[in-house]
Amino acid sequence: MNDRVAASAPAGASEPNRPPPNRAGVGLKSEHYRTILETRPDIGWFEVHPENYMLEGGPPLRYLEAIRADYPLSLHGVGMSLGSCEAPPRDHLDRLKALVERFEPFLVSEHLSWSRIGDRFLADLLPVPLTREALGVMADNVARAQDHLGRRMLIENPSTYLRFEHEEIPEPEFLAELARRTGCGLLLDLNNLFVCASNHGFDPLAWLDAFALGAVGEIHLAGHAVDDADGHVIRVDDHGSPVGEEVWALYREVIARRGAIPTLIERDANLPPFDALLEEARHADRVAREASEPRAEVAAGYA
Amino acid sequence: MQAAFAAAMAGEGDGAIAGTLAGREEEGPRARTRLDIYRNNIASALVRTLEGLYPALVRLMGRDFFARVARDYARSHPPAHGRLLEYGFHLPEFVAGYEAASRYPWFADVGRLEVAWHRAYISAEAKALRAHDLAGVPPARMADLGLVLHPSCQRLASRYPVSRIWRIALEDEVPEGAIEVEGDAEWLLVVRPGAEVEVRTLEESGFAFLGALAAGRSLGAAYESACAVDPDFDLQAHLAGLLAGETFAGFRLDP
Repeated sequence: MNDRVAASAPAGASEPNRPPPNRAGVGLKSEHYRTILETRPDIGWFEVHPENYMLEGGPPLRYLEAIRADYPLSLHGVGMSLGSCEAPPRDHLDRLKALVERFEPFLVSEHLSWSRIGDRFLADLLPVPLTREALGVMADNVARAQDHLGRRMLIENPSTYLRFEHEEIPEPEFLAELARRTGCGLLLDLNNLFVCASNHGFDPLAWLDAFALGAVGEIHLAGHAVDDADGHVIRVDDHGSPVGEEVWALYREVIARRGAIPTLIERDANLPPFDALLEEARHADRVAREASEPRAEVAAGYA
Repeated sequence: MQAAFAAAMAGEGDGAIAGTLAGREEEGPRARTRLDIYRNNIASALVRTLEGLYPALVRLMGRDFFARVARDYARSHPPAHGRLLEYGFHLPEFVAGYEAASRYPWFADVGRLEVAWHRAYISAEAKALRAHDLAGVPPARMADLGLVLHPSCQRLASRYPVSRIWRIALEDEVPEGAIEVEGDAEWLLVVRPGAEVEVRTLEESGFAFLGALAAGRSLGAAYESACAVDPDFDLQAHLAGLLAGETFAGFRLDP
């Protein structure tokens, strides 16, 4: 009962630095800045891509500051390219650190992917071959980034559309080992998991069995596109539609196993009015409450 | 591996990376189809970025044609880093040389105005210099005064009525009668002293005056530059107008 009261209390308006409740947030889009400031919705937190705020000044930073004054914030990077053979560029780390110091996010995350080679940036999250060598490179880069920022990061499982022939380590073990070597946490993207399970033909529940659920600090939920590829179904992570039923089912499963975790509704394309995202976040809160309830009752029985 | 993957993304051939991929082709999509997904993701991300930077050009060119131009630009001008809010500033020069758009020579200047707007939007913050901040400058030294432009200031001269075209493109406003694009040059100042970006039209002499100040020249020298364009240039009125418009962030007075 107390859990329910806590979960429905207004967002930590006066204490934005307090650890966030284990509830849902949404990705903050510039199209929604004004609505959020005018309506002050009851929502757990917001997440942004720090690359969109690596600016000298201007309205985006002003809006983010105003919203941060009332809500906890998470920085979810898409440009560090931790899976690149080269170390993350010093200037990128400096800019991220400046944002971390200014906005005091409760989470900082990045991806198991690469986007950069030399002075070329490939604007997508590209797949890393899951080899021992790549694990070593990735672990060095995560450790460097964490040292530079002076804090722990979460690393997310990506959506992929191909695999490499000589892979040596299954993805959940790769991520678990990365967390063990670097002390990083994990960001579990259930849409990416579903997309990969479908594209590569594996059982997402078996993947979860092998995954270090204890290291998860955040969950991502999103929609994806279903395309045809040479007569085969291929699912493409486009964040362009509401969260699908299969992904909600995985979410129930993870919450039942692990309890509530800060959860993000991601939406980047076909952006709906803010209220639609808020409703999805509330749905995530309901699902999480229901999925963790039996556990709460057992605990209450022993109290 | 990453060099081979990047080569495939740049359209330089899939051979090297395709040989490293898992899965037999008869059991799933072909290697090329799988790589196409990444190629499409990269191209769409850059086209979306450019659409965000050039909303007026999107309206003027139409979404499909703009996307074609943007894809071609992205292929020849890939980003150098992941801060995509700083990507695509050279599209106007690319558009100027774009064969299929050669009938619309003002597209490039509309693009330059959008870059100026965007640069002002994301520029550093600074407190504007007010007229009373100059109260202590001895009248005899005024000609030696240097004025530091606000960091958001951008200047643009065009032989076309570029700000009118830009406004019409963005405001859904249908102009009464045709716009005469020839013989209606504009001299523009784009500035963001607070939260809003402002696009102001200057006279040619005022533009020359501001340009001289931006180049670090003294008030006296800037006045001469303005007079070279218009012998009747009104220094008092222009300076007061620029100060009231929060165009400057500071001043220099060398001893």
